Amino acid sequence: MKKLTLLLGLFALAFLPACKDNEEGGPKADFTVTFKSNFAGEQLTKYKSYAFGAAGIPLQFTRFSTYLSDIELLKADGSSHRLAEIEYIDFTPENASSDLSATPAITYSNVPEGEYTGLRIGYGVKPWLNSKTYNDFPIGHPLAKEIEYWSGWTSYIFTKIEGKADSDNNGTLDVSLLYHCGSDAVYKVYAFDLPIHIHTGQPGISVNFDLEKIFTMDDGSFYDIVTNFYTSHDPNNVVVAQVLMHNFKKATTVTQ
Amino acid sequence: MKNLFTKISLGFALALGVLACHDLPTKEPMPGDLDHIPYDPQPYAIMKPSSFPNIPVPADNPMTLDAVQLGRRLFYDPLLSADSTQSCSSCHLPQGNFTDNKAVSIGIDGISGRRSSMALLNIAYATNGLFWDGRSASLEEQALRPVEDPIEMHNTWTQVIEKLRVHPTYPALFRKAFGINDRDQISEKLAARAIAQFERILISSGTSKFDQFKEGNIDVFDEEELDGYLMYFEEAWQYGLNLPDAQCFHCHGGITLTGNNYFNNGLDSVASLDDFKDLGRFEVTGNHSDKGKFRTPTLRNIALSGPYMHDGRFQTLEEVVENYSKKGFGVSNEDPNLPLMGLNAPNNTLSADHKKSLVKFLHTLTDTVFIKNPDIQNPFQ
Repeated sequence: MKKLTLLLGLFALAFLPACKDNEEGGPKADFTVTFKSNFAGEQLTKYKSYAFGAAGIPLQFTRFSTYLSDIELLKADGSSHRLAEIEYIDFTPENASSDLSATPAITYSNVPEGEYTGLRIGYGVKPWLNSKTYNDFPIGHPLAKEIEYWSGWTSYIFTKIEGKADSDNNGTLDVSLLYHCGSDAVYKVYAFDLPIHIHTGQPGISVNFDLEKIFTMDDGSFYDIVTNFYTSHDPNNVVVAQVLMHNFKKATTVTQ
Repeated sequence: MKNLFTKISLGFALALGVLACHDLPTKEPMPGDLDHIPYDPQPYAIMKPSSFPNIPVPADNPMTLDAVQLGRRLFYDPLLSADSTQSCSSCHLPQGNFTDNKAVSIGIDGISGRRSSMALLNIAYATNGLFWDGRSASLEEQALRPVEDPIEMHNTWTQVIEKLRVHPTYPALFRKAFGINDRDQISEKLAARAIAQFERILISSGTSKFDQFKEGNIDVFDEEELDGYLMYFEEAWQYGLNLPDAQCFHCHGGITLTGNNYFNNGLDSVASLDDFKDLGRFEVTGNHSDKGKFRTPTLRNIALSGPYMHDGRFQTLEEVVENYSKKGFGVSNEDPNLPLMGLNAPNNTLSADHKKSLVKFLHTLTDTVFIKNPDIQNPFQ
C-alpha cells in the first residue's frame, strides 16, 4: 500500500508542471499579437526595390508567408502559457488593395494576467502536426490549406519567400528568388527574452520579421542570393532552407 | 340537356381541379399555397476522392438532396435568360469540363464576352474568389451575376423570379428545397443557393490516370507520362532521375491542381502594367501590381477544357507549354517562377521531348467518369 501511495505521489509530482499550465486561476485578459514584416526596418512592400548586400543589389519581394507553431508566453518559474498551437501568417495576401505588407493581428482570449519573461515560437509546422495532411483538419484551420502542403516532401511548406533580384545592377531583374522551406529537419524553436505585461487594457506585442536579416549570416555577411536563389526540391538537400530557418531568429524582434 | 350541362360542368370543374393540383400558373399571391407539399430536407453527402481536401460548405446553405436537384434544374434551364435561349450550361457544358470550349463566350444578343468560361470542376474549393479576376466571393454570390450581365443572359432577377413563381414545376421544387410556404417566397437568393449547391457537387471522380498513379499504381504511367509528372511536381529526385523543373505545381499545385491564386503568367509583353488589354485582378483589388493577373484554373481535365488562358488565345496544350517555356517577358509583376521553367535542363531550357512529356502528363489528368456522371447531366434531356 505504501508503495502504491508513493507511486501515486510520484505520478502526481511528475505531472504537476504540466497541469499547472491548464489550471491557471486569477483574472484573464484578451491579448493581441501583431505580426509585421520589414526589410531593413522598413515595412515590407511588394515589388518595392530594396538595396541588398554590400553591392546594393536591387531586390524585390512578391510573397512572404510563414507557419508558426506553439506560440508561448514564458514565465519566470519555467512554465508557459500557449497562445496558439499553429498559425498561418500571410504578409502578402492576394486580396490586398495595396502592395504594403499586411500586419495580421490575432487576439487571444482568456490569457492569464501577469508578468511574463518572454515569448517562444516554433518556426514552421512542428513535427507531429507536420506528419498530418490538409485532409486531417477542418475547413478554415491553418493546416487545411492544400496549396501549402507538398506531398513530395510529405511536409507543409513552412515559409515561402519569393521575389526577384537584379544581380548585376543593370536595371533588369534577372534572378528569381524562390525559397520554400519545409520538412521536419528545418523546424526551429526560438525563445525571446523580454518583459511582457498582460493586464486588461495593456497593449499587446508585435512580432517583427526582417527579411534583410533572414538573408544575413551570423558573421554579418550577406547571403549569396545570386548563387543560392532557390531552395532545393530534394528533401535530402535542405542546405539553403537550413540557413534561412536558422536566420529567422536574428530576423525576429518582439516588442511591447 | 340538363344532364349534358351537368356533365360538362362537372368535367370543367374536374379539369380545373387537376390544373390546380399542378400549380396552375398565376400571378395572384396565394399565402401558404405550398404548405401542402411535404418539406423533408435530406442531407446531401458530396462524394469526393479520399485524397481531396474537405469540401467547404457555407453554414447558411447546407447541402440537401432537393436543393441540389433544384440547382441542377436551374443550371440547365434557359428560363434564366431574357429570351429563354441560354442557361448556365450554355457556357458550362459537362463534356467541356463545364466550359463551352470557346475562346470567349457569346451571350443571348450575340455579343462576345471578353473572357473564356472557366471550368467548374472542383469549383467548391475556389474560396479565394470566383471568375478569372475573383470578383465573387462565393458560389452563391457568383450565381447571381450572369443573369443580369448584359453580355450574358441580359435579364433581370425580377423577371426570372416572376417566371419561376408562375411556373408549373418550380414552386414545388423550391418548397422541397427550402421549405418556403408560398410561391411569393421564391427569391433570387434561394435560386442562387440552389445553383451553388449543384455546382458544389462537381467534384472529380478520382479515377484519372493521375489519380491511379497517386494511389500507388505507378505502372499506369508510361515513361513519357512519368517524366512529365516528375517535371511538373519536381520530384525526379525520388527516382534518381535527372529531369528539369517545370515549376508547374507552384501555381497549379495540391491534389486539386490549383491554389486558386492570382498570377501574371507571362502572356503579354507590355511597356507598363497599364497597357494590359485586360487588367484582370486589378479590377477587383484596385492594386496597381495586380494588373494583368488572373486566377489559376485547375488543370484537372485540362485536355477537355480548351482553348486556354483567360482569353482563350491558345488552342492546344502544346501551345500552352511552348508559351511557358519562353519564360515570360520580364514584365515587373510576372511571377518569379516563370523564369525558372526548365531549371536544370541544358541551358535551363526544356527540350522538345520534355515539352512532349509534360503534355502527355497533362492528358493523364482527364477524368471521363466525372464528365459522364449521370447526376450532373442536363435533366431536361
